[in-house]
Amino acid sequence: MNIKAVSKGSKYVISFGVILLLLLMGTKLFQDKAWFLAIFFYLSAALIFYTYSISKNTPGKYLLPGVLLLTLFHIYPAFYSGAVAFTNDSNGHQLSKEQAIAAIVQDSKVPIDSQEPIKYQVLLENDSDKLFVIFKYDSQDYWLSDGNTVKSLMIDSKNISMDGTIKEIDGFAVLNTEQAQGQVSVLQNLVINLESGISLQPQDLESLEVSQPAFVYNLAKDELVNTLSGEIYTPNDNGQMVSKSGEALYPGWKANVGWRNFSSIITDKEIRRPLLAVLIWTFANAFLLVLFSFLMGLVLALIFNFPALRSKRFYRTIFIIPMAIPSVLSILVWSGLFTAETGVIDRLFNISTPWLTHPWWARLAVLIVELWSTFPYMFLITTGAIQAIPGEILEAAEIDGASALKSFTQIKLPLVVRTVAPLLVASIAMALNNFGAIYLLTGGGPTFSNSNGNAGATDILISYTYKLAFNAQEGNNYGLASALSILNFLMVGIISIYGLRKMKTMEGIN
Amino acid sequence: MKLHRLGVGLLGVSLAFFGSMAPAQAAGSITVWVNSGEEASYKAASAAWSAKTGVTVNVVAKCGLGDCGLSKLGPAGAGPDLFTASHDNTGSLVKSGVVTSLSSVIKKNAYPSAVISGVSFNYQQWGIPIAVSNIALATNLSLVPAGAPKTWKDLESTATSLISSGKANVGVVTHIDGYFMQPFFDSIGGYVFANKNGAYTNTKQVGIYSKSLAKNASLMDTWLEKKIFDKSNTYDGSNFTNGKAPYAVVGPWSIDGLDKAGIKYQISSIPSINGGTARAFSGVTAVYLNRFAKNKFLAKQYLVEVVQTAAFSKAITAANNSFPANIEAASSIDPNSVAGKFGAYGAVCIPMPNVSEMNQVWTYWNNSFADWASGKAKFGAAMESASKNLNKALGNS
Repeated sequence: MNIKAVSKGSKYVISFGVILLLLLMGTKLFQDKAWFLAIFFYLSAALIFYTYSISKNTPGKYLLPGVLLLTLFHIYPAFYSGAVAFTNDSNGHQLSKEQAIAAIVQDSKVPIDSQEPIKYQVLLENDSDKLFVIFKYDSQDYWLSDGNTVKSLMIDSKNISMDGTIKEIDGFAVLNTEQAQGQVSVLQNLVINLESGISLQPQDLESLEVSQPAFVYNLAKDELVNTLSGEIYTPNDNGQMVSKSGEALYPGWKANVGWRNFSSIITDKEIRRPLLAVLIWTFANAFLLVLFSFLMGLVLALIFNFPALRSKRFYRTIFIIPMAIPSVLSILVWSGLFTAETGVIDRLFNISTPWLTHPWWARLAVLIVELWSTFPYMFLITTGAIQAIPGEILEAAEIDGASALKSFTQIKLPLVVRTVAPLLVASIAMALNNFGAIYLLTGGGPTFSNSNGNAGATDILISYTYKLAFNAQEGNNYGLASALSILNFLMVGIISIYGLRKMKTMEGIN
Repeated sequence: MKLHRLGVGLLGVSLAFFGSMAPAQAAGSITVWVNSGEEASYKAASAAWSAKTGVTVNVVAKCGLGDCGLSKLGPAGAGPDLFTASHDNTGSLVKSGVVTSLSSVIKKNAYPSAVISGVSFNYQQWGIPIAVSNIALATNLSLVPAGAPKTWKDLESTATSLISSGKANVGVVTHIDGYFMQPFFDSIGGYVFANKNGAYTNTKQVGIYSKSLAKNASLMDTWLEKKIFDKSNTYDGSNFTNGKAPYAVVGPWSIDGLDKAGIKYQISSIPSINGGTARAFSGVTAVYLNRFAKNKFLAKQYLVEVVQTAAFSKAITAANNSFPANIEAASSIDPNSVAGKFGAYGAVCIPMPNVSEMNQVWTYWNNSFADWASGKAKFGAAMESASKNLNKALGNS
């Protein structure tokens, strides 16, 4: 069999499949009105077709998949959260303005108990295929409405059957119940507002519910009027309808609030107070962790570099185990070990330590667990760095009469530090974002009692951000959380750039 | 050859995708999100109606007790038609605009008035109640042959003598948070908001540090010292099932576990320090209608013809040991059964407040309990600070 021919055939089948899949996803997203993503998928399909079928540009063939995935999974979310940071996206502000106002009016409807539901029928206009409902209300007249307009209509009595249903109307097709079933998506959202302030709404396929809304929306003036109290509600800049006396109506809508989320980090005492403590711990945690794990890795590397020590490989393998265990598992095991009084650690030493419930003990516990999972990495890189030190340098030092301590402090340590310094900086950047350990071990707790319950003694910026965004108890505040995550990104980004710069200068030395 | 198969597979996926894009049937199915683990009972209880009307009822297991991300999914058109939630979410669901009123659907006289208050907000009803659930006291009968305590003194002396003789590690196994400690909190005179027949209309009056609670607060400290409650604040149910604790605060959801452990236990109300009954929070599980539901007519029909019936309430509650919300279904429960005992206690409990202010309450209240259990503050001081912070957050002062 000709392998080349087969692989060529497969190539076409695969690229055709991928393109078709992308086009279909684009269409689906288009239907869901997700414009950006729909365009992205169409564009990707076109680019894939061009790059792999027409273009002769070989590097492009290797680059394209990465670029597309980078756009979809990194650049798009980054820009999206960037955009969210400037809105008040939070609980009670999820709807669009139209939806919110419709909801306020709808929720203010009081069913009129004395009024029986009104029978209605569904019509389709012959010319336009537009849906109308016809019903009898208040007098002997019939009323025709499409939801926007209401007009009265005279109907020839010969077209009305004994039980009051209409058999036919000029210019319209009268639908029976089965046919009306097909129009259900329109009918269930139909609202007919009569001039008298009464509102009618289909409650099933046969009858209209009669109710009296307390709020009436005036589109021209963009205001809601409470017909009972006469109070007028106008939109404020936080996406809510507010009366003069300051009473706000719910639900609100998603609105642009400019830089308010960012400025509130500084101006809002409730956010700022825990933020400072959280920031201090974020940096303290990262620096202490990297310092301790580097020292531990270095000491172990020195010990296991003794030529006299036997079965070095065996020990080294043992030390790498913490790295090989999924951190989710190991952290959960640690949290079990740390349980006060009944946990293994407390029982082993016969003590009662509030490991996870006292601020300082919890911080210590977090450091211990993080140390456990990061020292193998430091052990590996320092071992590498020590072994890379040329033997002749150390030999020369020995001949010159340097003591073991001196050759360590004057030769080994500087050389090791110079090699691993960029990695240490990168480790700090990573530790600043070490969400998993905090979230799984303490959940950021124990909480500060003055922090809205969102921040605790072991919270780092990213876990505080997560709690602000997804803590159902406080109400999800996506806008503020996005603003904070942008700050977090800047913080980590600056440290990473510094690290990269440092790495360049190090290369210069070598 | 393998690559060929991959390509064909991709084509298959594309076609399947195309199939899913075909416009869904306008009529004929509704989607219900329920608490995970309960989907089987909902399916079974809807089967007869489904067969009769030809409407498919898609029961999907979700978190099912709160918002479940619905405030984002609903407006985007990705929500279900109906979903279950516990009634204390009513206020925030209404405020975020994701549910629609069921005042014209609900048969008010089929439910006790406290249950109706639970699903009411702003003078409208938003959910169709199914079950009432509350915590209650479980007594380990092999450790306490005399059975459930009649008075608080009874409970306290039994627990302390068992602890001092080394037979028990702790008196009452419980979570130390607002929900689980509410009966003891009520017992010493504390309350969250003042209520009238279960309706919470005044959130200005916070009773977390009420006068009577301030007077009795030191009792809580004594109980913690005496190990009536467990300082470590870890709900160690094995203490109870292994006969190392005479009492535990349990909910209907704990019953399966107790039965599996094979111990003899008795469910009862919790005695109060002044002779009466200490009142826990009772919660109503109800079905809510998504404002952006695609099949509102069918969903309402389902609510009227299925969810609102006594048979449905009974079937769902029989499966999870809770008590039916429907009066007719409740009357058929054997008062000596576990569900009956929960229900009898539930009848004197306080409906959990359903106002959206509860979100803040839980935060401050639970934190203060945690501070107290960890020894950071005495009970009185912890509650005083919770009350102060809460009043500030709610703009009451």
